[in-house]
Amino acid sequence: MSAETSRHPSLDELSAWVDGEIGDGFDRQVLAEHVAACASCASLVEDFRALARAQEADPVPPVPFHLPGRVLDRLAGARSGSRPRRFLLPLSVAATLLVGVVAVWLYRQQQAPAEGTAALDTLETRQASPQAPQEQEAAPLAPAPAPAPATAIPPAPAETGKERQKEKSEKKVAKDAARSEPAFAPAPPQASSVMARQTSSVSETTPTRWMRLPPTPLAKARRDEAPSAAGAAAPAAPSEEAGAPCAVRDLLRPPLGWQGMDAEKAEALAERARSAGASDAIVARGPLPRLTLVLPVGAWPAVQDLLAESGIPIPDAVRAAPEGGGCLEVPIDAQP
Amino acid sequence: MDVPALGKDDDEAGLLARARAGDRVAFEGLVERHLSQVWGVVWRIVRHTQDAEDVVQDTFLTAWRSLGDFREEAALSTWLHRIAVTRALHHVERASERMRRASRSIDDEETGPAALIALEGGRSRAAAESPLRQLESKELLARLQQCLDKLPPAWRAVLALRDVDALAYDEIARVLEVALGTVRSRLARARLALKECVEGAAS
Repeated sequence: MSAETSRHPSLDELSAWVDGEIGDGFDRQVLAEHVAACASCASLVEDFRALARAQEADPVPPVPFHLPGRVLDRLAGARSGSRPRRFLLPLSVAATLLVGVVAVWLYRQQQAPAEGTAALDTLETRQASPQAPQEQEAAPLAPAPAPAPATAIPPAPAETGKERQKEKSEKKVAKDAARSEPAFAPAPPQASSVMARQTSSVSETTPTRWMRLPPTPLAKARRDEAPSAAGAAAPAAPSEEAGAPCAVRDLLRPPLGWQGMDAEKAEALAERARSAGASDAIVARGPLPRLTLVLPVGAWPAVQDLLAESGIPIPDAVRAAPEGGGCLEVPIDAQP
Repeated sequence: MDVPALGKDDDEAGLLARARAGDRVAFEGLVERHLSQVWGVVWRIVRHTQDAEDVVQDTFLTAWRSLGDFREEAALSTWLHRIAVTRALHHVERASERMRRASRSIDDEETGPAALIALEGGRSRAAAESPLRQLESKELLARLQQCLDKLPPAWRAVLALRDVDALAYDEIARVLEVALGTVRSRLARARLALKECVEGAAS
């Protein structure tokens, strides 16, 4: 062994040499010659290699079957921090300013001719009707009256701020998302994820592994009828029976599972669930499919019966539907 | 109505671009692609299935929320690894104050004289016939698992990234956000500690 090769390499150097990461400044040939001639170094190198092989053989448990679904659930309850959303702050500020400026300008435009003719109008209207001046004075205060509620889209189900707060506190995921996001951001995907999927372009948002069943004729008829029926009857009440969009989502998270469920069975059940009142049914394809039912709270008893018929156990804790209106989202995982 | 698009035919760059634009479904496609690998590295650090599940969920949630910060200078997998390892170490450290102290003392050792003593001791023992390589593979595996459980999480992380995931040192440095020299040093000491533990269990 020459003087150059007789120097013991350091532990770091030997370890890096095992990995082929010895670095350019080191003479690999010299190190190789040393290891070949030094029994202790050679033994250490061999041990490191044996340990690396053993670690490769050390098995990692398979990904739990329910983990993908849980990850997706968490994502559904969170907002993206993607860059485009950050553009929304200046954009929304600019849009708000613009709307404000236009509104003021329109208001002044309306005011200007009114002021110019005010004296004459007042004189004329006083002569015509003594009650008219009150109407003339009141008009500028409401330059653009909104359409009457009865003819507008039915409002969301009545929901107090307190109830909303309670719902948030029960949903840790939603709470986390809300805490991490700025207040100016648009509505979170969690709150409207189902509706977002319903209303947005299928080709834009739906992957092949997801399959949404088309509405049955009955469900479609209910949905089509929803706005007018609800608006005419009671504008403030949620039109659950009609399968109207859900403004509140209560997430049932029971351990609902279905032994032997495959995508075909899930689709068949989803179709029947629609007939029983589910407003949406999404089958996530994969090794272990997931069926997600979205339904008005009022449809939960009928859908429970349907699930029970199919052998899907319903825990006692979730048999009773939550109080109030809104929707339930019920994930059903295939059991391995 | 069968619904189109997204899936295996979509390349990662396309999914990433859509996810960065706020398309959650595209991000779910990325989750699908990387879940197994993230699960592997997290489990090897945490070594507990329930904890690993929590960390994996946190990892993808963090990634989704931080997607705007991803600069694409590194591969997406490296970026996800970084988040996963950070979250896993954080999880383990929170769970065990004792382990946290051990991990810190190990980092202190890396440039100290204790490392040299350990090195020389390891070398002299290695000169004899290695008990490690006398073990049946099944026995070696059993002892390896015991010893990995005892190793500080930071060392488990670097071993998993190198010996299992076969990441290059510079990739490991990016994942762990440490200097290249630290990767080299930490890996060497982790290996020596593992070897001595396995041999100690064997003797």
